[in-house]
Amino acid sequence: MGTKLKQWLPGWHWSPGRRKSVARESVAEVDYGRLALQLATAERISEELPAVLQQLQPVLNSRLPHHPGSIQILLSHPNHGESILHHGQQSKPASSYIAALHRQLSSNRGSSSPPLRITDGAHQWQVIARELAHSEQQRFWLLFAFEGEIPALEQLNWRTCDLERCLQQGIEAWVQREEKVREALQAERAIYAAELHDSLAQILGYLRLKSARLHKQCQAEEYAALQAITEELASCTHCAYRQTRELITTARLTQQSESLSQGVINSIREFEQQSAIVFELDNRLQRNLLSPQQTLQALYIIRESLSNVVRHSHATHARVTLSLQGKLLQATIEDNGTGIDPQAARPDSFGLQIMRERAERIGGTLNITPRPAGGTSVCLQLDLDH
Amino acid sequence: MEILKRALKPAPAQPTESQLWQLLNSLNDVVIAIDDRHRILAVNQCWEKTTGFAVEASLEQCFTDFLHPEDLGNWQQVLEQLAEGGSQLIWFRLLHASGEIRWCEMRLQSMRDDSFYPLSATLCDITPQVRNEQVRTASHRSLQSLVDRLPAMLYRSRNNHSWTMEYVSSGCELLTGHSAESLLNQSHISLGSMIHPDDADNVWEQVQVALQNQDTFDLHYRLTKACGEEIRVRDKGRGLYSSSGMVLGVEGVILQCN
Repeated sequence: MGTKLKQWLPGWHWSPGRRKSVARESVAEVDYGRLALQLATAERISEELPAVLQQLQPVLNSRLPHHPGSIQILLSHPNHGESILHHGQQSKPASSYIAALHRQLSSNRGSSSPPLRITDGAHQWQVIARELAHSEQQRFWLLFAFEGEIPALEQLNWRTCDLERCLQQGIEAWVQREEKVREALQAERAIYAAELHDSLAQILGYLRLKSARLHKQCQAEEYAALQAITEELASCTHCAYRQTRELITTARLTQQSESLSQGVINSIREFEQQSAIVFELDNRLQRNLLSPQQTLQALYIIRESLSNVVRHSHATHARVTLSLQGKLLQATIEDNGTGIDPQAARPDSFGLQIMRERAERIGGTLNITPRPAGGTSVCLQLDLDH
Repeated sequence: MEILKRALKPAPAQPTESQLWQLLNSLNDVVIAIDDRHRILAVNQCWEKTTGFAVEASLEQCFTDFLHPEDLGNWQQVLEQLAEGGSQLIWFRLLHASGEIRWCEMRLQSMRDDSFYPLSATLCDITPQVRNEQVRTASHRSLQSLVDRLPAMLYRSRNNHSWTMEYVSSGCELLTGHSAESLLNQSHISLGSMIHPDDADNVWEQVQVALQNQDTFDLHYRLTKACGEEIRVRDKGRGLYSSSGMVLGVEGVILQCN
């Protein structure tokens, strides 16, 4: 025995599963370090968790042979009224069981709280919940659910501490990594926005003024042959300038708010200050479902629509609806204004065309239609599988 | 004898279940009972009018399925508060069968004294009131932002030598370097203290003459900004009077002159 007691004790404390597995478990040896790493490096943790839990479930079964139970992880989104349950079993838990868990765990519950009692039809569950990690938007709960008698808490702690530690390490590392990725993305966007603002937008602003002046000066009869060119030049420069400004704003908004919902909220707040229009947001999206690129483009389209409402519609009400139908995300911007007359569009009104192009770029479709009750409806549909 | 008659008077018959339902269905508010899994146990006919969903189809359904997803957090919070006893009032959006939303006010309580569930609630459609409030808010917000963005200082002051301010627009900061809040009411900073001492008496006298004649005033004078810079301003305004002609205050706008 060359190991000193000081070194041996911590190892002994944290490795009951490994020692016992030799003596009485017939389950395959589980490499906790590898499982933790699998979670920490997961691209989508929701896809990795069931696989990890499937490997841990037999370990739990063998550790507590007299108390059959299930190891589960609940991702709770307190602000969205939604929870997702991951488990390693064949049968899927009932939705009412998940709803009851969500209800009970949404309150400020500590890890030392007594077991939860959940009735699901004829089944009675006792669930021991421990918070593993949390970020701004979600909390991760480790759950041990027992349909019959629960083991003594000390016994459970003793027999599952290595499982808990493995999951906690993996998930905490994943949460920290996600946070770092988010910060890096924001920093990168900030750099691009600042670059655009300081270089391209300044030059385009100057060109816009000059090209408009040039076009005005070419109104004289002697320059009649140039008028078509100068008009196109002026309107294209104006359009490029506006697009650049809008991109800078959108980049800034997506820095402040990584989700489409928050970006829309911020945009509505901004446009509210510029008009007496009543803006209404009907946001039925419970989570951020879009990639940063999709968020940026969708937000650009919504902002362009809102800007049109303020600038041209003469509306008193505008409504933005964000909803999900299956795998189709739909953003609708409606107003009760005068509507769009395609014949009356000004030559510099490239806005609608650009909105369509941006929608196509992220695999979406854009429909601009008159509303039956008057006004305009702009509908962006995005296939989330794109 | 009278007491005896009253005592012998037969007790009024208990209303039958159908009479109770007739009563509930005649109401213009939704009356609803919710069980421990938040399923609708019973609801009156007004539910159909409010949500567009038939009562029969809604029974046993989870009440929270009819709530706007953004309001689920509030619902949870109210339930937690309700656990402490009493009743709770909550505003939320119900999802109408047509896809539209309806604003509702709900009064929620436990039905029994000895258990938290089932819950009973009354719910009324307040969509028209909310819409009216939104229009009022938008109108006020629009006016407020217009006033606050103007490169001028709009004010309502009391008629004293300090010109103590009751209201100052945000343009105050651009003009004087002081925030609007720092000039309000009994603040140590006042418009009077910013007016150049050589102009102060003239300003006072001209305003008093205009007030006396219930006329407007149009003054030019010097102001000292917070940074010490001296600027020339134009102040155009008029008095604020009661119906008996008493001067209640002075309103006007101050602009910087080039």
